Amino acid sequence: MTINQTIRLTVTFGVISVALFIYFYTAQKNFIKNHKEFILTSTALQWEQSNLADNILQSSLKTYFNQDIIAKNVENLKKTFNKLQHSKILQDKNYKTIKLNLAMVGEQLDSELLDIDRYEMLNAGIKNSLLFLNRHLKNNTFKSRKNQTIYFDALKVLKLLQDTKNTLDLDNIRGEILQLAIPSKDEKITRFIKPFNAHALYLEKNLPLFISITNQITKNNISIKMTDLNTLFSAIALNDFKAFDRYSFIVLILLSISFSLIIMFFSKYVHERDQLTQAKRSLEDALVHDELTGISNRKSFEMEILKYKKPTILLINIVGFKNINDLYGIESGNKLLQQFAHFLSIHIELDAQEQLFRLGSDEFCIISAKKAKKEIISFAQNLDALISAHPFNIHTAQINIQVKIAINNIKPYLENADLTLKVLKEDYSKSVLYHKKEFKLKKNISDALQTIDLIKSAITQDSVIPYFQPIVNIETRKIYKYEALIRIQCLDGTILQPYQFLELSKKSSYYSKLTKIMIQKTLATARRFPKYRFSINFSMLDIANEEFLKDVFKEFDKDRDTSSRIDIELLESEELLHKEKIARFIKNVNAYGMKILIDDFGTGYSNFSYFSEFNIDFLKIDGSITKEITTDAKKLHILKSIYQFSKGMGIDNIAEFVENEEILNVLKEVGIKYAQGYYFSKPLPRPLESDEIKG
Amino acid sequence: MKKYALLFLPLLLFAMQPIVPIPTDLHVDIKKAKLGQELFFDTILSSDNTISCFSCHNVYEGGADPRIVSRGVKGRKGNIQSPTVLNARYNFRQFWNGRAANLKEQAAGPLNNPAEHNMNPRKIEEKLNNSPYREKFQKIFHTQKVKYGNVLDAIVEFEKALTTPNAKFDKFLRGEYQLSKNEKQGYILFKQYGCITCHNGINIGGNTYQKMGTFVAYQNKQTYPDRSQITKSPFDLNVFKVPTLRNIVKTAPYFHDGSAKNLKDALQMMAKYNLGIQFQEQEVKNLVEFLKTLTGETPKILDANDN
Repeated sequence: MTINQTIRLTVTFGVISVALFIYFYTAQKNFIKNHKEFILTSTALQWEQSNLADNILQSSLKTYFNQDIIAKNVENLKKTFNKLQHSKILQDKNYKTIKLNLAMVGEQLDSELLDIDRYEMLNAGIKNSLLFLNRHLKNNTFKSRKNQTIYFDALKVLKLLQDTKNTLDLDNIRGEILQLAIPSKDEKITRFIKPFNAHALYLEKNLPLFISITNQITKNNISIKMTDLNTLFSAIALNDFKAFDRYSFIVLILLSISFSLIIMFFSKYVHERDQLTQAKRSLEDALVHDELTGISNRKSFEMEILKYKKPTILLINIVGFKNINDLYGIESGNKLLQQFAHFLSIHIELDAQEQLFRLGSDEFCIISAKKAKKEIISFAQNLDALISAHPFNIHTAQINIQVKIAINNIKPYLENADLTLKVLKEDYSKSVLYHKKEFKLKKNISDALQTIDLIKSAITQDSVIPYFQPIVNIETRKIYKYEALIRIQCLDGTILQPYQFLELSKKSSYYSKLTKIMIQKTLATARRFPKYRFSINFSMLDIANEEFLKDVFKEFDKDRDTSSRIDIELLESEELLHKEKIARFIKNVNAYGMKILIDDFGTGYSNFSYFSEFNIDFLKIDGSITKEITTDAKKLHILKSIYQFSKGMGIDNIAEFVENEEILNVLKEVGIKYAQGYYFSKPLPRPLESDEIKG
Repeated sequence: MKKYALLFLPLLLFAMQPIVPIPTDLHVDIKKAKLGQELFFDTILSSDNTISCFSCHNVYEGGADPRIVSRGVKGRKGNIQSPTVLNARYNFRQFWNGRAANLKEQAAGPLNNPAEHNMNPRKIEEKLNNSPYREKFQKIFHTQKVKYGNVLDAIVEFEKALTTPNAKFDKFLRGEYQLSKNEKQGYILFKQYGCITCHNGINIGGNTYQKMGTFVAYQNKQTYPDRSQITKSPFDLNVFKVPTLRNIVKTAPYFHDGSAKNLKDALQMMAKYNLGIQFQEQEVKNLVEFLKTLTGETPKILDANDN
């Protein structure tokens, strides 16, 4: 039998025995209730009956009697009998005999009730006639001796009749003459005797029936029958009780068996469940524990870290573990890891809610929930010192190992810790390092690589394009020229700004290529818009690159006319190393008619040596100054100084980042000649046809 | 405990008296009784809308019919003198021959009798359901339609309220009234001559059967529905339920055949046929004086015509 079958059997067995138990319990309860009801009703019936008999006798003896009492008795008797006949227990076929017997009692009762009606009728007449005779004798006086004889005869008759009624014995009057003879024609006597005889006769005639009925009623036939009936009933009921006893015994046994079975299966179930739980636990253990060291593994780390609100993690890496493996073999390396894991687990502080994990081969991690930065650093340093001082066993030798501990409490926890560890690995002076946001830059290497890819594809797919921002003559409000600004148009239509790629491109070989593309495309635009000048940004890197410059001048040579409308914006930088190269470059471009602008003056490495050594035509005032000349008096002073300086040198100024009228008015007041900025226009994909500009 | 025992004392005393006064506190469902009252007075309960219960039971005057026999629908004659409906609840059975065990069985009798209301349960329900009664029954019995059983219930409830308490004699029994000399004399005769052997209990009668003519055979001019019709026994020929003597002065004519037109005649007939005696003129007068003390108050439910 399978377990399932056994369980099903037990359940069936249990359900059946419980159902049987409930059934028999209810049946028994009902039976007892019904049995009791019958017995009580039967007793009540007998009581009512004897009560009635008692009242009947009283009504016979008492001159005055309230017959309501008997009427009430009769009503109760009928009701009680009716109730008895409808006793629930009689519905059971075992009690058929009782029912039949009861029907006979019913017939008896009916005839008895009829007798009672008749008894009452006769009783009234007899009582009244006896009353009359008594009164009649009392009311008539008998003076003569002869008449006295009549009186005594009458008295005798009355006594006989009275005795007969009281004793209910007809023998009292049997053979007696109960009529008085009328002796004379004495009218008075006749008047006495006639009614006397009439009533005596009435009594003589009615007493036999009265006596027989009274006897019949007072025999208590019903009581006797009911006693028999009750005996019979008890005998039948006793059998039922015995049957119930047997059934209860059986049900008890069934219940006991099913209970034992249930207990047996329950204990078996508990046992099996325990085993299962254990098996499950060891499986789970294997899943989240490192097989080699027995401590929690990476999987467990990933689950546990989620339970912490503000965790700090310590990423511990053994320095040069690979060498140990190489030197002593993997087995020894493993043993070292085991010792190391054991060593760490000893130093975990449970009250700080710390947990230890092995994340990779020689990478361990501690999660701590509570410690403050200072505290955790000292904990790490202490741990580092302990590890360094602790000799680990390798073969028969003992070695000391070094660790690097990276600490981090910023999401993503592990990535940041990894980053910190990388930084730490490069720094031989430190063994403990707390994560800093700057480390993130390092992470951007991968982003940078992506950007380089982007630049590369932009070049091959020809999506490097110039945007043009007008430079306006403040006095005339006419566009004086355009500055060409580099953009990359992505496939989805978004336009990348220089800050997103330009700085990075400088570190790659693509930078010069971008400048070259800008020159080519700006020249092409300049050809189509002959009334404007265009300026192109050059960096010191470009100027230093001789190969590149050769290419550039080749481009300029293709259309010298257009090239004469091109100006060069030079970006200040710290690399003012190639003065000769710059001087030569300026000389060369001047030869084309190009002019030189110094970009972003007023920031970075503003170097006045430019102006003494090179032929500069324009000086562009950096946005950081222009933007604040209306709010910052110092900035305004710088602006004015630059202007004075430029004026003295014969150089014109272009103010960048002119964003509103207010700034423009100040510039105008100071005497700045040109302005560039959103107040007039943002950089546009192509120059405007008209040189008139709003703003 | 003693206090309570004292409370029961008067009851015990009355119980020992052969005559018991009518209780002054009635326990009836007044709403139901009022509905019953309306039905009692309404000819809707007869086939041709001519007869109501009230037609033969003038509850304002003795609760019986002054005619020798009552008249039903289309002038059909009844076969017996209408007994009073007052205090009927205290009778041990209903009708002259006791064929109804209670008021409900009784009420069904005249309603379904072709010579009286000439109705049947279906007709009664139909008529009442098509009348404003339907709503009244809904309120009281909470049934959608009028049901025959509920019609009887309502009438019975009204009849239960038809009691006449506080008769002079009841007050005498309670010690609240002193009988006059003649009344007292009448009561003594009532007891001495044995009237009380049959006329006792709360209703002064109505608790046993008795033969009309126990002493001297009484000749009927026609056959009446007597007790023998129920028991099928010759012994019960001319046997009727002993009628109540309450309000007797108001319920002439007397006996099942209405053969006594007044109390004097009735008394003399009883003396002759049932007691085998003769009353003196003065005795009759005194007995009448006593019988007058049995007239109670008009039932309260009839006073309050506020529905």
